Amino acid sequence: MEQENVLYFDGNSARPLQVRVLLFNDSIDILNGEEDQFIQSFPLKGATHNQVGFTHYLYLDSKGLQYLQFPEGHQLATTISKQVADANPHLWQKLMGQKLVLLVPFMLLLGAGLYLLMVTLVPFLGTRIISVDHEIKMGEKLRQIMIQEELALGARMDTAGTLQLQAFADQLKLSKQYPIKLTLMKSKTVNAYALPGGNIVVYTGILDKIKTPEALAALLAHESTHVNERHSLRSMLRSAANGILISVLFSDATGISGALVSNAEALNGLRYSRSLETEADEKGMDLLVSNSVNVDGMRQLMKALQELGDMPGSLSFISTHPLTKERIRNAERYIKMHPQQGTEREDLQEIFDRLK
Amino acid sequence: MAFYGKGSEYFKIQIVNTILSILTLGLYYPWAKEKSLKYLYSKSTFEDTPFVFSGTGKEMFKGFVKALIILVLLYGAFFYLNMIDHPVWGILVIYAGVLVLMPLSIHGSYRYRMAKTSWKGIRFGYTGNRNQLIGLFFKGLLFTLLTFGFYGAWFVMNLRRYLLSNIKVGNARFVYTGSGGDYFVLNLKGYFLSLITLGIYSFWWQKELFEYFVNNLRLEQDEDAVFFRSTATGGGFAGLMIINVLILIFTFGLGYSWVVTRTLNFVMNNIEASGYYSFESLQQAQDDYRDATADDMADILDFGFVI
Repeated sequence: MEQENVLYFDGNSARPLQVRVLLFNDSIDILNGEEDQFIQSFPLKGATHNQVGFTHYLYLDSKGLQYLQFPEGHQLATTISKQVADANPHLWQKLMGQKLVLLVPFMLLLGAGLYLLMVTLVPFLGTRIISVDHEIKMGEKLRQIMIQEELALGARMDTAGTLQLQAFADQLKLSKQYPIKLTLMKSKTVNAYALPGGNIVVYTGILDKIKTPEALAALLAHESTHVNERHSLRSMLRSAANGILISVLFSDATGISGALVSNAEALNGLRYSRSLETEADEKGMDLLVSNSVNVDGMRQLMKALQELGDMPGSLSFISTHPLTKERIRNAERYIKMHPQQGTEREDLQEIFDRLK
Repeated sequence: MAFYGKGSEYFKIQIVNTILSILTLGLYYPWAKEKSLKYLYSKSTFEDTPFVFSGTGKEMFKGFVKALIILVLLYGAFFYLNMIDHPVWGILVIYAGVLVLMPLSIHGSYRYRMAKTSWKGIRFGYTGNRNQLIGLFFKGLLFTLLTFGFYGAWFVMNLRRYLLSNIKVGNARFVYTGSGGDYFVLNLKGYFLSLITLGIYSFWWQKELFEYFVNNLRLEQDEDAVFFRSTATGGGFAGLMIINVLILIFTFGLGYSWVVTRTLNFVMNNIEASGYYSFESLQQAQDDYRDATADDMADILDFGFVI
């Protein structure tokens, strides 16, 4: 097949040549229109096609500098555009050939699959890559920053209380891997939180609500579980996974660096998901059992917190946690399933009395 | 100029790109960028001839990896300085690093994008000098800080004049003649009138900014020149922007493809060229340039393709 009236741009000047085009053996031969002289031959593989309005363009080299321009209604143009598509069978082309009705659900399905993969895989790998030693160091830095922040906001450290609280914790085996270090802050806020690597900060506000050494042990066991199970690291990794996912979905390069920034936020917020809180309650009770402390302490702790009811403001220990009622029920169920003997810890009572 | 792209076509490209990005865990990003840019260029025409973008995913992937390595080194230095208790130095290193990367990215990004743009088989090119641009950038930044932002208009115009006046198409060159003083007055007027009219004037402000961009641009070769003129109206900008926002809101962002094509359609169709120049006398004169590091860096740092 051959046709005339095609314009050839040679990639040297913007002045086109009138040429004749010959199509065979998966290549395009270009001949000078007037003298029928052979100019050059191009393989169809590697050529690209573009249509604007009714005009067809066939780019012959990968740089798109040499090309043919077919006038409106030229017979060869559609033939060539099909052959070019056949000669360059890319996955992308194949997908572009599908209908949107198929592509959109397919994309959503893949997205959901990737989401599930990321939120399980990233925390799984991350907790294996980041060592316990490193976590302890990081936690210590973080503690200094957070205490400084609180001091700047007007809170004060209870030095004597911290020593007593530490002595109390030392009577318990709370962690195998992490050194559990306690800090008592003078503040009305009813809260306590754990930092990665073993630091636990307790406010006098929550200590005032606790009436028994068992309840205090339960609080420490709960926070220690956050430490032992590396909950803050896991939440951080989970949010990193989300950030990466979003940047993948929107092909957005900034998302990756954004994920790094938002991690710092996650560390500061120290808010865990409900499932992690439930885990902290349960494994916390396991810790009580292994320390021969009466598990009823957990129920007492929950009761004490429940009495606060819906008081506004400084109740962060409750607000991010699962419903207190539910937690009490869980504690009661646990107590029934784990009958204990010999749970009188006089050593704890003694330190507790001094602390009060 | 004209734009013939369709939102539905561009949307499909985005969907296919997303599918492949998911399957490759994001590694497809440079190829996705190639496909999107190739489509948008191929549907943009000047004098009834479409533009060609010939950058490849492979080039941009290499560039992306290099850009990431540079950033990782920078962040690494930051964390290292933090670890050995020099957090102030760490912050300084990050800020200084990003500041230096900005003019470098602009320079490299222009070189890459222009070398990969062609029209009628004739390559564009950016021939600005890197050190001059860095000088211009830091001088502008310093003066802008010292004058509490007032110098900003001159800063932007000096940068734009330098960048645009160093763009070539084959043996022809662009010239931009905007000045900081005019630009300052334009923005001052736009700002206060927008305040007084509760924002309504902002569309006409936008129209004037666009006009100031287009009308001060010309293409020269020897004695010949092509002048550009904006035909956009404030009402046109109002329609474009209001409907774009509505599209984004009511499609929860999925209509972004239509926002892109509508905007390009508006912009291109409102640029007219006139003058004494035969485009057939254009000759290939600019070199190819394959390093996409800076272009990807500009993407990562999110200051896009600035003009």
